Amino acid sequence: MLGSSLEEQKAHDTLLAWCSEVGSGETASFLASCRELGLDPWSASRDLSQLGHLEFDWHGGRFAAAPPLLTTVPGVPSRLLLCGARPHGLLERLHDAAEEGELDVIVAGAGAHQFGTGPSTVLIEGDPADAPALCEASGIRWEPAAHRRLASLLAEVTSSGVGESELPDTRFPHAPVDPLSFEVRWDWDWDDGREGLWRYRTYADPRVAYLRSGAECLRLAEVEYGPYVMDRPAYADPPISYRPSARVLVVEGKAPLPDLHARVACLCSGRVPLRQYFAVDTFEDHYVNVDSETARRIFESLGVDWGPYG
Amino acid sequence: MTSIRAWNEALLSVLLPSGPETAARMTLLSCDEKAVEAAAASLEIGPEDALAEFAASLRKHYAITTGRGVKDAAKEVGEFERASRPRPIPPFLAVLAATVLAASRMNQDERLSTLAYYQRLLDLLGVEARQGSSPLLGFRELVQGGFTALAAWLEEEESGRRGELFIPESPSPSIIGTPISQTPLRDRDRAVLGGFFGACERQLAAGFDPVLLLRRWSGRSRLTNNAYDALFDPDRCESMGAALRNSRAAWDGSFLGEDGRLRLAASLRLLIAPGRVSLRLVVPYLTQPQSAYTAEHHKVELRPYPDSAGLPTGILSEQEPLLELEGRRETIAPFKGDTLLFELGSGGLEQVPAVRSNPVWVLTRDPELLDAHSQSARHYRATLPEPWALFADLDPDELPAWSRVTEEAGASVRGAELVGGLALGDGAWLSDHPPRVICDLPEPAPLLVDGSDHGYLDPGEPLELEDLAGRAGIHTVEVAGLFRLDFELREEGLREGIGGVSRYPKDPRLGPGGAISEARDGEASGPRVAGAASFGVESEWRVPLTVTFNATAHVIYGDGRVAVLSPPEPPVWLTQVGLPEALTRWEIPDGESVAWICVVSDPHPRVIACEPVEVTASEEVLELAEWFAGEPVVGDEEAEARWRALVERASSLREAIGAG
Repeated sequence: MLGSSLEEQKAHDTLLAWCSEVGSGETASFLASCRELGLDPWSASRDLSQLGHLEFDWHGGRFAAAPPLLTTVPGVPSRLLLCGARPHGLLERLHDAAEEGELDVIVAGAGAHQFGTGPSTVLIEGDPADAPALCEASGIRWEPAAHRRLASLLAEVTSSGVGESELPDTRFPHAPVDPLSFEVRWDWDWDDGREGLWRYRTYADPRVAYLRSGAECLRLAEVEYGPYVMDRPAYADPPISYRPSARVLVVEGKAPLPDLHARVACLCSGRVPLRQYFAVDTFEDHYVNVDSETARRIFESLGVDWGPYG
Repeated sequence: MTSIRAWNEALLSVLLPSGPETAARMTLLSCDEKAVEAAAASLEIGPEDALAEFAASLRKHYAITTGRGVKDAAKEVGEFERASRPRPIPPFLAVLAATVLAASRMNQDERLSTLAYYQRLLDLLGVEARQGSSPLLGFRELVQGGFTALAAWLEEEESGRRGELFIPESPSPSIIGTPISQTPLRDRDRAVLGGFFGACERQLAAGFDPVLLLRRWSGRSRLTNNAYDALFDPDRCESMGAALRNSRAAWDGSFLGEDGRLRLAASLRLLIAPGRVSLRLVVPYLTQPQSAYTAEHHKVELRPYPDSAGLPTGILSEQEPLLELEGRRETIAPFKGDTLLFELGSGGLEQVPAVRSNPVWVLTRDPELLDAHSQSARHYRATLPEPWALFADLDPDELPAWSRVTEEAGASVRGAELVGGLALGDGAWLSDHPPRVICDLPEPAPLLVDGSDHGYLDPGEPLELEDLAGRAGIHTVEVAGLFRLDFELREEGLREGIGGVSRYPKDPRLGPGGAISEARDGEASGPRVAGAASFGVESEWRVPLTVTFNATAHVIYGDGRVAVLSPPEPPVWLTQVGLPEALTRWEIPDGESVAWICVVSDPHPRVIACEPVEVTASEEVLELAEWFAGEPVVGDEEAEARWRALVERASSLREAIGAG
């Protein structure tokens, strides 16, 4: 186990460097590298994915680094966010390209720490007008406002869209999900056929979600969709909220954003969400610098009412 | 009586075979009882008569007596050396082999020390020691000339096809050292090696060099001096390896006990009858009947293999029973431990050392097993000494872990491996994260890293190579001189397959399910996303208009609008991550329709030209034009003229309004 956030920060940076150098590989080797570095593989993989550095095909057992690119973040026109693979020498390459092209760009050596929860954020100082030339000269992709492009691709999350009709094998351990707190209630003695969101632990997947509604039972493509497609009481708070003045998207800890939605929110800053604890197991994830347009797209995609903020 | 010539031919093919495996390699005239038995077999002489027949043939051919010794054999050596080439098989080969056979029989027992070579030889030849300087007449000449002549014959007549005979330059002791050197392993060594063969069974089966393994075996110090020296003598390694392989092939499972006495291998069989269990003992070593006694002085008549002999069940009452063989130093341990396993074999229920997958019968006095199964239907009710019990058909998973053959135990030895670190593939690791080295050799193994001593590698314990961290380049690890592992530390990897896993968010089939690798994406449709990159998406981004000054700005848009803007405070999140000065540039909204930016700065008020458009002359625009009429203009070559024109328009309009 790692002792300090400094060590954890270094471990996350090393993990990204390793992934970038191998380019792609089996998820088993990714897990082994996480263990080698003393990192929790599940949280490390989610962080790397939502920051746009890596993609994971868990069913196929593969991972791949994403193409390195520069993008912009909303409200901070003086900085360019570096995403995707971060192989050895990339920053030097960007620095040299800026120097040789006499571009209005300053490439500093170190990234901004993530408090030991993810790889450092590299925000390059420069004029976005010079960014295309910089990217071309250094051989990486220029994709301004990547968060907005991805937001435009967010599909409407509905139970029929993200679920596939399938009856669960009730011999596996299973429990209902509390529609108010989203907690998996292993202590609830519900009948198997009861309507609602259910979590199963199967051999193939230790956290599978099934949504029962009437005679229909849907297996959800990702467990994260569950809180957003389940029926909830009218008085229940939505799992996400937005603070326009602070540009913070707040997500209930037990209802994490689906992967692509989380990536859209993260690319607004290059930061993993700040976790705010209220109790040992109760927390919120705060995605910073999320502009209202992006927040609206996330809300609408997840079927959460944007009205209070509009 | 078999002729010496026949013995010579038979022993030559057994001891010095010709072939690609022996050609031009160091060899020995490594004669022992097994070799004599093998040679006898080719002469159709049974193993029980082999030694006696061999000795008798020698005595007759050379007329060996206490008085004559081996004088005639020594004479034969001289004649052979002087004979014209090519010469036939050395006629004294058999008697030379006998001198080595005597060395091979040297052991540690009540009567003889390992150095009492002569007594062994005299016993073998059936003569008494001669009074005088040499116990056996002609022995010195036979040994000194015979081995040299044999070596010359192997080299000249046989052209090295049967190997090159090893003869020590300075044998010690001076005469008998030569025949002793031909047999690196003696009876005592073979007894000791039983433990070695058992401990390193997997490694030896996997083809590891027995010499290198034996050098690190903790029991090596119990070998005779000759064997020990040969083990570490580079010139004799090869022959020692051959001797070890031969010895292992002939190993019958016996080993040397802690009391220095040989324990002959044996196994139990069970005969089951209603209410009764009989124990039988099988001793593979025995070729003739042998009497033995239990600690309680019960006599047991052991029978030659493969027959079995009945054992009194009372022997189970003993903690570690031992059978004393009548008239011999060897002993037999019928069983060891509290649990004995039996499987159904051709001889009934036969003892097995461990169970792999099939149910077994279990004879036990283990309290845990007794508690677990005493009341079960599989408890075979029979009269047995307390607390023993017999259980039928217990599955492997019902037995203690030691009794099961694990996958690991069944696996062949992997040897030394590089594990951990951050592997880049293709034999390379990330420079700062080198691999660890691990080996499954049975004993601590010396480790060399890049040719330098790195201490010992404990079995199964990964060793960090942190000294190499950051040292890019090729590195070499050598474990025990057996394994050489080359690897490279690099800053860069292969970087293959970047972007090879993607999402298709608009694909109704793949969209909700997360990312998918190229090999599986099939007929994916719609835009593709890999990390932050998206492909097939329309982009409407335009370069924002940004400014770097830290002052209030009055912005004039082409449509006559005017906005007053100030540089924003840096967002808190940037300050928190140590980038409080990150906002070195700020954006002017709706930048594409901005015509002028008037900077309110005490030291440097100025007008910045943006889009060269005709500005609608609103009241606010005219006020700003008059306010900044005399300030410097920053922009293209025509910016100054455009700004003057706007100022003049403002003045004209102001005058017109004033006149109106």
